[in-house]
Amino acid sequence: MRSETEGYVRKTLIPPAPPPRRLGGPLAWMRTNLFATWTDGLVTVLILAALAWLVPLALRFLVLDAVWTGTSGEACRPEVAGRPVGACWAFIGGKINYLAYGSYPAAERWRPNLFFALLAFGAAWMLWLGAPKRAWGAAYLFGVFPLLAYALLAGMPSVGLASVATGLWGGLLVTVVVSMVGIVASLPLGILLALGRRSDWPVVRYACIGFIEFWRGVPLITVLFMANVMLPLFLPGDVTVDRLVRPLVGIALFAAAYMAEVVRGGLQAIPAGQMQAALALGLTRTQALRAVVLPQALKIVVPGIVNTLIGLFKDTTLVSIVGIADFIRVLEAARADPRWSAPAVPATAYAFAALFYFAICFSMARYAGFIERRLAAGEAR
Amino acid sequence: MSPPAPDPPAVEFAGVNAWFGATHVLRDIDLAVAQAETVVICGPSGSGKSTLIRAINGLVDHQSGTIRVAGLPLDGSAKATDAVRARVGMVFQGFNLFPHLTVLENCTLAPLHVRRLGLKAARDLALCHLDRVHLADKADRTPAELSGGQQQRVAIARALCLEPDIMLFDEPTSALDPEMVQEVLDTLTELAAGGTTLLCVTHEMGFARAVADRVVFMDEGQIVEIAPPDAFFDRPQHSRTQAFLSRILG
Repeated sequence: MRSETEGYVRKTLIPPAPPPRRLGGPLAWMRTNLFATWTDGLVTVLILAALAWLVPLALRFLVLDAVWTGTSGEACRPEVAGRPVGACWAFIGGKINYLAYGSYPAAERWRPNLFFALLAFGAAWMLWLGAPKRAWGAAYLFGVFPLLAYALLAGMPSVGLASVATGLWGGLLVTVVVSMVGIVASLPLGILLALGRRSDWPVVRYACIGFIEFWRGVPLITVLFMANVMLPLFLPGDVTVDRLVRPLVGIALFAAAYMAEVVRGGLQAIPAGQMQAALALGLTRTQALRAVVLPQALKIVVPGIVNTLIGLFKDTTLVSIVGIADFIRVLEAARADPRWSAPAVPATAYAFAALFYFAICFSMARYAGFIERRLAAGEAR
Repeated sequence: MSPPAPDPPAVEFAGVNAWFGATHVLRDIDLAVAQAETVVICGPSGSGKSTLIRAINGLVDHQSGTIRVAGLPLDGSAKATDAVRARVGMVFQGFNLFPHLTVLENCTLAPLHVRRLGLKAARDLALCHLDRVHLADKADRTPAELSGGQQQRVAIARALCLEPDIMLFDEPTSALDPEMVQEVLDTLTELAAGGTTLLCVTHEMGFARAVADRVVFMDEGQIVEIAPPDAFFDRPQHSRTQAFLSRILG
């Protein structure tokens, strides 16, 4: 053996060859991926069995046995329909305006509609990466749009828009307003808190740590009750804060604390050399953060940011407990309407809520996934 | 090489001391580097070489003594530090390119934000310096697409875009594969010949002997010996220098 390995000089170079073709067809794929071992096979069969049991049940309730049309709960009663009854979608159809606007005056509903349209326009402008002048889109969405939205929804008598008390707002409108304010406020505030927590200046650092730990340590429900009940006690007697604004502030600060910790994770992942190189180039600390450190840090924590935003969106349902007529609360109120009393109505209401929240959260997750892939491709092109 | 009389030294340390916590990392440093001079700093690891050159652009604070860069005193104020950093380019061992920016954007960052040039002027300047390190054709790539040697040359071009009077190099070849060391050293040699004041921490003794005007040997935070390269390598005076040279030259 020694004599063979002692010295060697290659005489011809080997040209690259294509990889071997995978052996084939679906049967071979199933064998390697689904039934490779006894355990694999057992798990596969169990999961398929569970799906075979659940999917038809859900399908029958949501689609096959569902009642699509009707003007009252009568249509959704099995004895009236003369067949087993699944979801009562007629109920959702009959209540759709209430679910969208709450008690917003019927004559003024074009205002929330315009608000939704303006929001969709701004969101599309910002989120569609190929859109022209996206910086202007951001300026519109974060600067112009909130003012427009406020004038539009709350009213501005000087330009002929009658005031509409926030107590009348409800449904989808309130859920969108609360989540938008939460998202728009929590991200910049969270970034500032994260930077503050890493500051060299002890006063700033400890103030930020205290703020973050306080808001993270208190349940959101408590925050909302405190905002509602205790805030007026701290303010001078003649100052009142709108009932909708109170939980809004609470949610924004609560989400900002979580956001700060997510962003801090990203900041810690950036090597110190990046900041040093930027400083050595003569950039100020602020310029270095804005141009070098933050873009990289935020990119790393896109999954965490989206996770927090999804959590925030779902947490907005808690405002229903302090009397804000958000989507869940109007759904609850609608299902208690005696005209729509039918055995299937509560289940329909909750199924609809689940589908509604799932559709929005899943879209956020998909969009974030798309952004992540785009950013990753940009780096390792 | 003695400094020409009328000009202030490019870099001047007088009685400089610095501490990291309780560790005394720079001890009574006295050093004057003339304009257009090339100085190589060597010494065992932990001897304070990197700290010394980082003190020149204020990445490391000193607690006593004075440092003057092109006559400007580094007094700890943000204004003085910014003024000095605008005239001093720095190249790091780990390149420290900005991975989220293209090669060109890495180079235009300082011209746009620090020198406040227009976009066109900044691009032209960056391309000119990228051309100087023979990488103008890579301007639109991202750093991750380049080899280590190319990345380090981009880092040099990025520092040159400040059009600095002084260039600092902190072990610029230590993180490179052996076959890429030479391309970076060639760039340094061209710079030294072009009249830039150059301070370089390196273990490349061949480079030091060929290019340096003076070699500074440091140990335990102090300057132990300063000599022209021939004298330094052939007739080291201090026992620590002799021990160091015998270890690395074998």
